[in-house]
Order: sequence, then structure tokens, then C-alpha cells
Amino acid sequence: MWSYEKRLQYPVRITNPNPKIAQVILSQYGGPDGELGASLRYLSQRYTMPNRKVAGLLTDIGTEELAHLEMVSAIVHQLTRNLTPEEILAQGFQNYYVDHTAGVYPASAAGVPFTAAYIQSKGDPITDLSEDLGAEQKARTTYDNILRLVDDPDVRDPIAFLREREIVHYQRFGEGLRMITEELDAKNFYAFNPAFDKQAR
Amino acid sequence: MENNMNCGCTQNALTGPTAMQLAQAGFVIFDLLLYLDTHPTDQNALSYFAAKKSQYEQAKAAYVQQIGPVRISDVDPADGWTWGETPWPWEV
Repeated sequence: MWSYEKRLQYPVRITNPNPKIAQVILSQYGGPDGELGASLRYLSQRYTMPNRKVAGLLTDIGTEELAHLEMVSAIVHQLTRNLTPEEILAQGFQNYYVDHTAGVYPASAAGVPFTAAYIQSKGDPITDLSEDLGAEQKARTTYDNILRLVDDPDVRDPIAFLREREIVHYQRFGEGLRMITEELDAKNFYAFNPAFDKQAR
Repeated sequence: MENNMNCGCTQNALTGPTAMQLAQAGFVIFDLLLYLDTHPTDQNALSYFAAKKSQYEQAKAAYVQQIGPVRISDVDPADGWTWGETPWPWEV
């Protein structure tokens, strides 16, 4: 089960609201390569991961992604405080505002609501870990894109931290994939699905 | 800027040295946790984890004493329900 620590993994303290940038950063909350998808993906995949160490890795990275979800939403929340209608219109935030006011809602920057279609839990360890490697790079690219658009150091700082973590996760998942394949037939990794088949077909 | 806390500490406490030490100590053991998930027999990493774990516990004890509870288990009911008093982590 989950227990909560009343702190952020990395501090977020933003003094200057900026709803235009908040809308961009929202993609890492509810967008295709964001933290909500990441946590749900890894926490869903862990049940059928036959290698127990990798199941542990999926649990622990999935948990960290929940902490990142919290950081991203804290960033979005702090960027959308104390807004006036004039600022909302001037910053192009009105489309989000009309449906959510300043509420934090899981959607992409383009306003597409989060969907489980962004993730896969395929019940095959090689497939699932390959998906995870791709997911971490997609998230890293998204953070790179955000960093190109943001000047405020209070925003850049936690975003840069989150970007670094994606790279570390990629490393760990790579090790996980190696661990999985080392347990399989070196002449044919695909002889059977160790998460489903009792033995080679 | 809102201030709806009763703890007597300011929002600045959340980015002050006590909080930063907890954040750093907590992060080190968490990152180590991921490494140990894929390298469970690395003796150097295991001893490093032991050392950093006690550092985390000290940093957390200092935070709980000076600022407020980190986990529900840190709450001492004799002090009242302090869980809700300190700023929530997303509050500026």
C-alpha cells in the first residue's frame, strides 16, 4: 500500500504566476508522456513481471512517478494562482480556464484529457520493459521541450530535476531488460512468454 | 500569499535548511533503492544505504521536531492533530 510523506521529492517554490507556461507543463501531468501515465503503466505492469527484482523496480519507479505527478501539479498550481480575467485572456489560458477555472486537471497542453490509451501493460516482460524504455525517453524529450520555453529559474529548477530522473529510470529499465533476457533461452528470447506460458511452446 | 497554517513556522521553512537536509537525505536513499533493485548484491551500495538511511532518519527527526510531521506515524496526539497544521507541500 502507499504511505504519504508530507513533502515534495524536490522543492517547488514559484513566485511569479504564468498560466501560459502552466498550460504547457500540464502535459507532464495528464499528457501522453506524462507522470500520470508513467505511474499507472509501471504499477500495472509489475503484477505479471516474473522476475521479482524487476517487479520491485516497477513498484519503486511507479511510486516515484506518483511523487513526480505531485511536483508537476504543484508547479501548475503555483503558476496559476491569483489570476485576473485580463491575465487569463492575455496569456491565452481562457480555454482551460472556462472548463477548469484554476483547478488542476489531467489533460495535455492541447486540452486532450488523460486516457489509458497512452499506456500499455502487455503482460510480456520483454515488451513491457521495451515500452518503459520508450516512455522514459518520451518524457525526457518533453522536459527538454519545456526547458526551451521556460526562462523562470524557479520553474526550470524542478523541471531539470524531473528530466534527470527520466534518464536514470531509463538506465534502470535497461538493466531490468538485461536481467529478464539473461533468464531466457540465449538462442531464442521469444521461445515463450515467461509471464504466461508454463514452458517453451 | 495565503497563510493558513497554525504551526508558527513560515512557508519559508519548507525550503529552509532543515527541509533541504531531509529532501537530500530522502532522495539519496530513494535513488539508491532503485540501484539496489537492479544490483541487490552490491556490497558497497548496501553499506552506503545503511549509512544514508540513518542520516535520513536523523534529518526526519529534526524536521518533525522543528516543523511538523512527515508521515502519519510522526504525529503525537498529545500535541493535537498536527498532521494538518503544517503547509501542504504544494502551498507556496
